[in-house]
Amino acid sequence: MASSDAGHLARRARAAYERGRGRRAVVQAAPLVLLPASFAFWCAPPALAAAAALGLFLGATAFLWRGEGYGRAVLPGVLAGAPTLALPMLVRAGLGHVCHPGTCWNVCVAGCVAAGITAGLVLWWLAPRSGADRTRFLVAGTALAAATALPACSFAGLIGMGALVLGLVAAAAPALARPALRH
Amino acid sequence: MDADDRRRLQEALLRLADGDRSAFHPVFTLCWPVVRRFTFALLRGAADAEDAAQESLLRVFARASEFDRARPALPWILGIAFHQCRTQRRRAQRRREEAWGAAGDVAGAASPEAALVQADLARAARELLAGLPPLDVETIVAAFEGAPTSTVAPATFRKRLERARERLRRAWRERHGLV
Repeated sequence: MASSDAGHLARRARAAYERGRGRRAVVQAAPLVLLPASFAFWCAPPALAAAAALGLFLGATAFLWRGEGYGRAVLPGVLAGAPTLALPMLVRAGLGHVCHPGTCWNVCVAGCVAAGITAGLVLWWLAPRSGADRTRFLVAGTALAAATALPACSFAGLIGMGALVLGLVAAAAPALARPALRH
Repeated sequence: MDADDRRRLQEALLRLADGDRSAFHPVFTLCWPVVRRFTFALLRGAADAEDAAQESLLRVFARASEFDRARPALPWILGIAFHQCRTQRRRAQRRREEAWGAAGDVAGAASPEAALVQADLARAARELLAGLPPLDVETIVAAFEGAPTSTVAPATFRKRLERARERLRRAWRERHGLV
């Protein structure tokens, strides 16, 4: 086979590889949207739940397609964010009311910060110990944990969602910063 | 492919399955000659062996991200190539059958001479039918289309058809002296 033919075949093979990865990523990411989307029936405004579901789907698809540390972070990221979805139920069990921004301000915001920190610590613990994969894992995992958990903190309003992201970043930032400091 | 190449293929395919694009060229370089030799051996140098080899390779790469690290790479790749060869062989077989069918149709469908004879027969039949009573024509047409009229009992229809055929035969004999 002439080298130009081999080059053409290699390009087609590369395109087939990327298409195959893309298809697989879409199939694997699709069920994940149920988590944030289900919150539309429970507490979060439907538009916010839909936006979070779409964000999670697009993010998970992109990370799974890209692979390596990004791809490996998808499931841990979603699982780290998922327990936060139980937060409104816990607050209601404890305080007897939920879904009213302003009514449970302190507890809700504190709960969102705690959930964010917990998710960040889980990711930090699950992340590979070193290398470029660690950074990729933490970036992808933090983004997906936030997308999964955001609708749950929407009952505490924008501040609740901000608190969640703050908690996540606060827990993951030292791990992210460490390789940069070493350089 | 020796043991060292197998090991390198296994490692490269694992990296590629994980999303490491830098493993693409090692996999391509190691995989293509093997797949090509395998498909040519399996299809015994048939004309479409090259197509089968390329299709197999494309499938291997399309499914590379599904590769399971617990499996050995070479049998996995050759399994895909084998499946592709089988598909290609079936496709070729189907093409041959369709080609034979089409050739048969062309042979049956008439040279200009046969078409002329067919047209003459059709014209003669139309002329004869025009001379028959309308009920006979209706019965013959219904029998030809395989749909006896629902208003007539089957036994009556059979009787009518028999009489219509007899009249048609007689008319044909009178006009053309045959049958």
